[in-house]
Amino acid sequence: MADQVTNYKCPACTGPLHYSASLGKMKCEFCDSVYEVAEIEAMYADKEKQAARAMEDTHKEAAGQDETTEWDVSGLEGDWGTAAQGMRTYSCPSCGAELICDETTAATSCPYCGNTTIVPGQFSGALKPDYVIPFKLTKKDAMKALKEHYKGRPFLPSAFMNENHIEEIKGVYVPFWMFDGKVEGSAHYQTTNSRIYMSGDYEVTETKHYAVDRAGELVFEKVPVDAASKMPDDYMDSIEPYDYTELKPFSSTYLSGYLADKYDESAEECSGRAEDRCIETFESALRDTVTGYQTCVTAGKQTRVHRGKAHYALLPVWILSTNWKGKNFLFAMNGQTGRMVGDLPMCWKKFWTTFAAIAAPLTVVLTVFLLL
Amino acid sequence: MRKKLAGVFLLLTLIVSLTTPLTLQAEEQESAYVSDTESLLDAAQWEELEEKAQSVSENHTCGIYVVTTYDYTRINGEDAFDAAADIYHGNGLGKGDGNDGVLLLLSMKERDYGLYVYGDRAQEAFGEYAQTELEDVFLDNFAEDDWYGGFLDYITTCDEYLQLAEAGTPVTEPELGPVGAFLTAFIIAGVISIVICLLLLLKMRSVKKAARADRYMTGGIKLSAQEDRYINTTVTRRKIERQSSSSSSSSHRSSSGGTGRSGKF
Repeated sequence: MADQVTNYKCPACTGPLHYSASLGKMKCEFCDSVYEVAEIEAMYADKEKQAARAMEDTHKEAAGQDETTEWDVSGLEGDWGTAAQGMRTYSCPSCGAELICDETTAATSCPYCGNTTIVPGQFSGALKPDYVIPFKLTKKDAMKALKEHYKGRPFLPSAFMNENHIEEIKGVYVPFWMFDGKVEGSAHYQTTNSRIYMSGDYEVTETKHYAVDRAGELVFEKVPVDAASKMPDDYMDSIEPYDYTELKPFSSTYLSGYLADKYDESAEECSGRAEDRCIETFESALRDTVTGYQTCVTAGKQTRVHRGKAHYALLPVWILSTNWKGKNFLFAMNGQTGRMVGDLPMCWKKFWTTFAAIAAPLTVVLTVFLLL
Repeated sequence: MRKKLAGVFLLLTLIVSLTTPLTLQAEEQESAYVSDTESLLDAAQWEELEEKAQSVSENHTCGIYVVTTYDYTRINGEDAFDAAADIYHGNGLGKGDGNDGVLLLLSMKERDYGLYVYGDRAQEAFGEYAQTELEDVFLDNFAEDDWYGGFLDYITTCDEYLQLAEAGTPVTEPELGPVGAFLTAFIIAGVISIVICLLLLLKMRSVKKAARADRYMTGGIKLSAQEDRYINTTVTRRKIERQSSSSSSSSHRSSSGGTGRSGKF
């Protein structure tokens, strides 16, 4: 039976090939040979097809398992419990080790030989992403960005900054849905313009009231929503935006050297978040067309979302995590632009020291001022 | 003939009373401390207040006066305080060598009042802070049309303030003191510091769910309909008070050296 997984090997020395973010090409870890992505893609096209077919066959076999005569291993399932659900096993093409992965894993590295392993079946047929933005920034860039992220945070514990070591840093291609669509709608506003003038002993306020109606439409393109349930939505929102001019047609060769998951939240499940964001923007844009009035109150509104195409893309994210006093801190960096986000731990001692440093001299100055 | 002469005298008196109200008041108040031309008090109330005002004035050698009028602008168009000063000096009010005294004028047309303090002794007892405190004593009564109560409180409080001044402890603004100043400064500094610290605290948070999709708009909004219709015009009028509000008042200093306050009640 053909392997369900594949890994890219150097045509020169058979060493593992990784996608180099800095070069934008495939590079051999051993002999430093560099290859164009398209070159490797062409070389492995047949192999990937075979791997995808092998995966489909496995699925079919699993589906027909009830009808075949097999050893009864149902009792062994109990050892794994619920953990066995949603897991898959693959065999590493380099060293033959058994790889146990999530069912959504599309690219991983072998814990024994360290070679990157791609599961082409996760991206075959209808599951194939439309686009990928390759990593532009390296692990070093991510570490540097994290140090920059710590700067200018007055209440960050010094020990966290100096002694803390990042426990895990991984480059992940996160599955995203990108929604095209159009929001159309109308709104009714009550607006006023007032002028105030004096008439004898009276201050007269003259207010002109208007009824304002607006209707329009606004087109949106590629509104991203992360499609991996294990990725926190707020983190993925916070590292936006990606530069879509660098979107490339999907090729699994870009995944070499990184982790990747296929989506586990459907476009239907994710579309609500994109629609809410579009509606919010539309309503605000429509309101902004009401000009020339001193006050404007929205009296009624109607919106309708016209759903367009949903694109499936893999976007690069560096995930850094660390543990501090028993609490896990997660940081995410946009693998293309370098935008780093992540909430930081608080040092309350520093908070109150800063408070005292401001309050003490201010109290002295104010006391002197009040006594004068 | 005597009747004719009496008629002419009456006519002259009427003319004089209409044209020079100040002089008339002066004549009326020559021996009075409470001059109630607006009849806000009944006879018994007037008599009681008159006696009390006289007693306080003589005890402390500082005249305590009350004058009610319909419209102070007939006396002095500037302000109720100036009208009170004009009445005070126009009628030679005050006690002792320094003509010390305090005069409270109520003008009923627009519910204005003026408080005038004159003379060194009076100024000592009724400094700027004491005047503000004195004002608070009667204004609440006048706001409820309790004229007798207001005048009584005024005279009683004047008596108290004069006694305190004679005892060498006139009513003055309580000093904050080092402890009070420190506590006040600490509270203000604390509020400012906590606001700054909370702003700095926001820098520790950088993760937030996106609420809008502005970055993903292609072009601007395309309007398919837009209509602005004029509905109506509403007009509201607000009378401009000479003072900022009924509960506020302002302090004054006259060219003759007196000080005081005026406002609405």
